[in-house]
Amino acid sequence: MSEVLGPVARRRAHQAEIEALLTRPRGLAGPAFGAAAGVLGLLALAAGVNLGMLALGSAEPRAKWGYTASAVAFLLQTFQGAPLLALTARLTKSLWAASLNRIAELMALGGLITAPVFVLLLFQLPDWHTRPSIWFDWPGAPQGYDAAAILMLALAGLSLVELTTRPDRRSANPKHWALLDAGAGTLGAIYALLYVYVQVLLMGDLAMSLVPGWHSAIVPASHAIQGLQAGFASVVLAAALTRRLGRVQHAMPLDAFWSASKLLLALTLLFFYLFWAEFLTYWYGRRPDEQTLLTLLMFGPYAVPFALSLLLNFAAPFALLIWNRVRRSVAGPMAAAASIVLGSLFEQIRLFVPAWSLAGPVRKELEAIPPAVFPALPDVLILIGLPAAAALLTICALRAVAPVSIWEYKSELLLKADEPYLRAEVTVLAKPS
Amino acid sequence: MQERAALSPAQINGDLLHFALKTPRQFWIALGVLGAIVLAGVVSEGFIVVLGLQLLGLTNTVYWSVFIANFVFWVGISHAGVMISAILRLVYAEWRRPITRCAEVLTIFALATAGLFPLIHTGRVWRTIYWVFPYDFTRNVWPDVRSALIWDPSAIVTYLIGTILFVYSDLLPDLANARDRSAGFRRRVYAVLSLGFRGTVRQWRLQTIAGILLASLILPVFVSVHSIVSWDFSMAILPGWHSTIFAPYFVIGAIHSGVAGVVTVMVLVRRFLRLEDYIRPEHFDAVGRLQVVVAASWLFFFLMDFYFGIFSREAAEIEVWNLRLFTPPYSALLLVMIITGYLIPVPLWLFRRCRRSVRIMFWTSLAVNVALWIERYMLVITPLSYKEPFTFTWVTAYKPQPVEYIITAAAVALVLLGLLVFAKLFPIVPVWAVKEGQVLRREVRIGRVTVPAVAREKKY
Repeated sequence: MSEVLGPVARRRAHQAEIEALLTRPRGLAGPAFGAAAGVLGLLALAAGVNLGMLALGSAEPRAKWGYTASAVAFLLQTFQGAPLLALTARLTKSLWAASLNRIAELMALGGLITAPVFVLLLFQLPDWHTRPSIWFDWPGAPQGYDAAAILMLALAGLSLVELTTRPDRRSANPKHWALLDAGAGTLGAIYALLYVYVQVLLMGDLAMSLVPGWHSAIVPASHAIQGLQAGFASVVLAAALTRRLGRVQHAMPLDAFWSASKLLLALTLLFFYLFWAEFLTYWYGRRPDEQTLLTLLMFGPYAVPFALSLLLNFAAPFALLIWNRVRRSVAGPMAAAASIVLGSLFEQIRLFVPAWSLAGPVRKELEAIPPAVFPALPDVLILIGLPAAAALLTICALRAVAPVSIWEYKSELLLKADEPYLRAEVTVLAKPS
Repeated sequence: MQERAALSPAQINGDLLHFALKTPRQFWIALGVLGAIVLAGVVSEGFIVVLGLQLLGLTNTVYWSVFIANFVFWVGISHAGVMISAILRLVYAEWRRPITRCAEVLTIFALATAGLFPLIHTGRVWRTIYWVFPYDFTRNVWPDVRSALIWDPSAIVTYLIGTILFVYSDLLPDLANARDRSAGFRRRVYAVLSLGFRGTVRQWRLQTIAGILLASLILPVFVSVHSIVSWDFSMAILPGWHSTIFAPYFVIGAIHSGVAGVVTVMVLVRRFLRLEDYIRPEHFDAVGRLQVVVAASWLFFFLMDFYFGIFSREAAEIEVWNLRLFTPPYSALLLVMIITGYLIPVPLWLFRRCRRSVRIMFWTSLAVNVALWIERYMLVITPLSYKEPFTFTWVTAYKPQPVEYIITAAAVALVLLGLLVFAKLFPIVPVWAVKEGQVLRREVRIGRVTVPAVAREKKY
């Protein structure tokens, strides 16, 4: 087969061949896979050991948990934000995303890593009594409610994976298909709602409550929306790598990357808009407490991660994706996605590390800005190891099921066709109600 | 989209150009009623100019009144045009075709009406010129370009010009069509306005490119306009206003009210111009789904504003929320806002049958706009009503006066009047876009089922 980028007819002609390839993707087996899994496993193990040592050590200083919180937030943004692409695509009947949905949903397995570490972090929080919080001293807050929410999110992600991979693992009758249709929509909606809720809790309880005077209402909302950007970018990055390494170019047409890159461009602009809305209000308001917050989070000890976040989350992807020629490639969106994923990590560092450096008794005002907390070796291992553990789970799942959902791939081919129109050729897209 | 009707070009021309070329008696009745209400508003404004702002219910602390709430509300409504038209055009949503022009025209008249309110609010209208132009060179008195009050007119005028260009470029083929189907003076006017559009390949290509470019360029302007309006409030260090979430919260609220406004106009146009074949239940269904997402986002931002307003336990913030939640009449208004803006419409929109019911969509869209008007009223009035300790404890509550009610009603009439006159002069449903939709319409047979489909230009 030649390098087929889009034409439906050619993909349909080679459907059987592509399906066989999807069932046994060549690059996702063999020694290369073993080596990758081994490296990821070692990194995950190192992170686990260091986490255990941190948990068994003394409670103070709590600043030592800053990088772990950043890693958890990063996983929530990237791995657990990824399934939202599949949800959005299904809701809007976007056929272009059919080849990306599987990877997007498999990344929800990252919840198996995020949930326990999140719960562990909840028990490292300082005394909650009279602390500014959305819980207002409710009994059991925040640990009980936050833990329930993150566990439900992980469970919803696992259910989504189980449900949407089922047709590729077992034969299905019309009743199964109807169940799948209704279940994927409902479960997707529940996942999205839980995702937003967990993001609010994450920002509220694991960051804002720790910093005296930080009550910026936009932060939880913008963090949730930035999760879409990082999640979609993770899918594009993972899909581009799978396409190359798994040699499934034919099943993942250029069209998917082109359309995803437009979404990424929109979300990149949204990232800047939300940042600007917060920054301008504080900067223009000129209240001393807000100026101190700006120094803490943006221009003071964490100026470097802040600048890197702005560069990698906005400036670099915007400069790349603004060009249609770049969007209409696999390498272009992949580069932009890699930039966003890395930028998301720096964004979490600049939010959570300073917050945890202030975790202590309740104070009314932030009198002095603490110095920057630089990562020690255990912090670096946790920052790399936790995403490595989530990536390991995802690639193991990619060996068990096809990297492109075969049933969605077949549906796409049924609903798409090429036909001549005057002197040109058009694509016909069917949209069932 | 199962019930798409196959319509011939001649039938489309006849149906969609009928109201622009023939004048029924109902038009004059509607014109008279709406004109009378607008006139009452003009007379009330005359009283304000002559007798001063004493006619309003302003107090020492509530110096921004219902007029500013109206301003924010109409700017919000104006967001529908771009939301429906530009975004849906860029994502190739087929269902946009018959409703884009209603939405765009609603934008123009809503924005123009919004622009009137800051002028009315000043009392002595002519003095607003001092805010925009330097009026005393010798003493170096200049407008403060750092003021959000200067950003506002700039953003709104940019948006208005952009939207007019957007509508006009979209209207050109229909003006040419009307020119070819009219005679006499009318024909001469359409000929001038259509700028020599003949439907050549080059002209169509330019028209398409202009549409896509304007849609892309107008989107940032659309977001910036309501963000800037929100910054009029949030830049002030006033409890209840100084919130970082205001920009996206205002924008999502604007989209919520704007899309609901479009639904209201769609129903009116469908009913009174007898366009049932063009504005069909499937269109209401699609808008209804969009509204579920928009309404959920709006509620989310409202809750974030609430939670993180009281999060810090600052006495002043809690006082403002106390006013909104527990003090009549604001507590009742808040309840009405939540019920009509979310609790009634959204559960209904979750059901396909309700989304496809024109009647339900009409009443829910009106309910949403009642909610969003109350929201704007609460946002403007309650923080100003917060009583500073010692200084203003004697202040009585703000109560809108009759002239404020009349001018508010006149604003609604003015927007409807604008839409009516526009629909009389130009086709309110884009003829060329509907025809294009017919050309691109396909059906795909899958097994025993026939699925509606659409042809798209190949992209690679």
